[in-house]
Amino acid sequence: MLELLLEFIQLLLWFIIIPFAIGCIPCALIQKRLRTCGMIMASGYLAMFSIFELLTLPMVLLGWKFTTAVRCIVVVLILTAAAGIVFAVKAAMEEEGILRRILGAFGISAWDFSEGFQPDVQAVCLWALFLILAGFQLYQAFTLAVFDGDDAYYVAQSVTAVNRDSMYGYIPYNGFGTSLDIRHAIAALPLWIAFVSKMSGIHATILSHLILPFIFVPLTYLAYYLVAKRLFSEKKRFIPAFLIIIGMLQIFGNVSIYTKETFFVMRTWQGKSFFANFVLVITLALILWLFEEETEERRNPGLWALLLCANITAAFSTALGVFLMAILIGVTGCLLAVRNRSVKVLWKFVISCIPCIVFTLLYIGMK
Amino acid sequence: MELLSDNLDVIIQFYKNYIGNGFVFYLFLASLLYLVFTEKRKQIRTVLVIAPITIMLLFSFPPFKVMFDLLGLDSETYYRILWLLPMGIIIAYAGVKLFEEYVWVGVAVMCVLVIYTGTYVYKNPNITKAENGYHIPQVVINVCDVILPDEESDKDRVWAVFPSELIHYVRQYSDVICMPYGREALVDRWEFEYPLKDLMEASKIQTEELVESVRNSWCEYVILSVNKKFTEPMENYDFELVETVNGYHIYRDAKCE
Repeated sequence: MLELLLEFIQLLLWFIIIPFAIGCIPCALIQKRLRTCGMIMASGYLAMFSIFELLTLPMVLLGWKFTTAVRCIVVVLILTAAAGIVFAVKAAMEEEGILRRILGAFGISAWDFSEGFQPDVQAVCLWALFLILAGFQLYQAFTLAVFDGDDAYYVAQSVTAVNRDSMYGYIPYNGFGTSLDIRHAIAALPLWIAFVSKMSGIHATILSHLILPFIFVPLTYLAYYLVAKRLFSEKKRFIPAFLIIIGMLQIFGNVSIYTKETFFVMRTWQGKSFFANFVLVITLALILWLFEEETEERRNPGLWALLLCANITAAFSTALGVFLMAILIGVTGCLLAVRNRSVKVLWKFVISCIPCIVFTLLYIGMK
Repeated sequence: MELLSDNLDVIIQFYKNYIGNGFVFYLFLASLLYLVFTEKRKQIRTVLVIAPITIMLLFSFPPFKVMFDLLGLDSETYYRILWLLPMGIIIAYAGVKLFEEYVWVGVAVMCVLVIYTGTYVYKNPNITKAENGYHIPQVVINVCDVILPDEESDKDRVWAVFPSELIHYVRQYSDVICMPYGREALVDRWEFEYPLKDLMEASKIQTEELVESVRNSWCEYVILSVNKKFTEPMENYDFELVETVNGYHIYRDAKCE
């Protein structure tokens, strides 16, 4: 029982507390009205995965042992989270009254209580319907097993990292030792799963197949929520309707084995799926938030920083992600620069793409 | 010119493979068209209308495919550029926008359309009821548990050869078990040649050849379906039957130290 409790606390720490605390750092640089708990959590995952990627890649290239890497990562992530807590406290102190300060620390200060609580019955029903839909997906993820051949690589890679104390030093398919395969080494998601497995003591396969959907599915819907919030900024009651249609498309999106909806359900724990369903959607949300019609002139360094993190998280998810992000940001950035007649905008997009360029060169150069 | 024409064919094939029956893709195109005429907010129009159209054009442009290949990227993954089209967002946004006044009707109509045009993912033959927390077949766990060394043992590896249907799962359960060939031998397009695999998969096992090949691969254990026929019993070659688990015989090479 005690062992189970400790495992649960570790999961809570690495899945909720640490990313949330880290998310307070970039969120300190964005407008207060955007600093909601959802935004902090999404930012936290982007920042945490970026830190993880930037730490592990050189360690993998230098052939460090996994245990040594884990020790360094724990120290850096905890220190960063501690810094995030300082930022959260600082943000909370801007509020008046104890209750508002506590809520402010959790990014709930953006809610307006002055008008009182006036529930919109239609919106509440739509939200309930959406939650049933998301709950159904989680229930299916818990009770159904999916066969995917790539698990023999990615999941076995996590298992091997934990037990053999090696980062990409063995061929996961058969167990033979191998030299570094840069294509897979850039994408550190299997190592992050191994990291959480090592910290919690939960087998990496159980973590991947059974527990990760409970993190990645809500995180994906959070990214869609942030998109919807921007699209329906004046008509928030439409947000759950939007999410219901998205949910239905996820459930009925298996029109071929290649769609990101198929990946979302059948490979939730794999980097490709995480990239297609979370990283790309959150990137669109960030771009949409960066270019709000009524706030073109305002500065939002936090959102640009998060776009940079999204690029690094793309590499963290899948090596091809950096190339795809470069296309997305290149195309959208050029169009927005033309639309807004601003070379400065283009430069900001180019800077946010630097990780893509570096990782792509590394990929091509070391292949 | 021929190169571009060939690449165009490949691109069309990628489109066909990606969109499946095509209905969801047509729904996306219809939604995109609707937004072309109705979306007035310039920034959203740029990100959700003009950018996807540009990406589609880029994807369909053969020289872009040539550049993709020249960069040394895996040609088979070219279709993933289509992931950059926010199909779900565009369909959902257009749907809600179209039925703004009657949101419940809009949700109902869109859900019916999606159900009618889409394919229910949980009906996929690769999805089955989970048998354990690992979400791998219980038979794999049962077989592996028999061959894994005891806790007191100083062995940190066990070499075993498994039938194809179990191979994907073995090292997801335990990295202690190593195999002379793994999933790489099962993907035809990767063109790996493993004579041992052919011997294992033969409808009638050539016992002498199998034993020789297994010993050359330093394997201590051989796992074979109970339905397999043999030219001679494995016991004739000092392989002892350790246990039969869920329809699989587990043989151990008595000569293996």
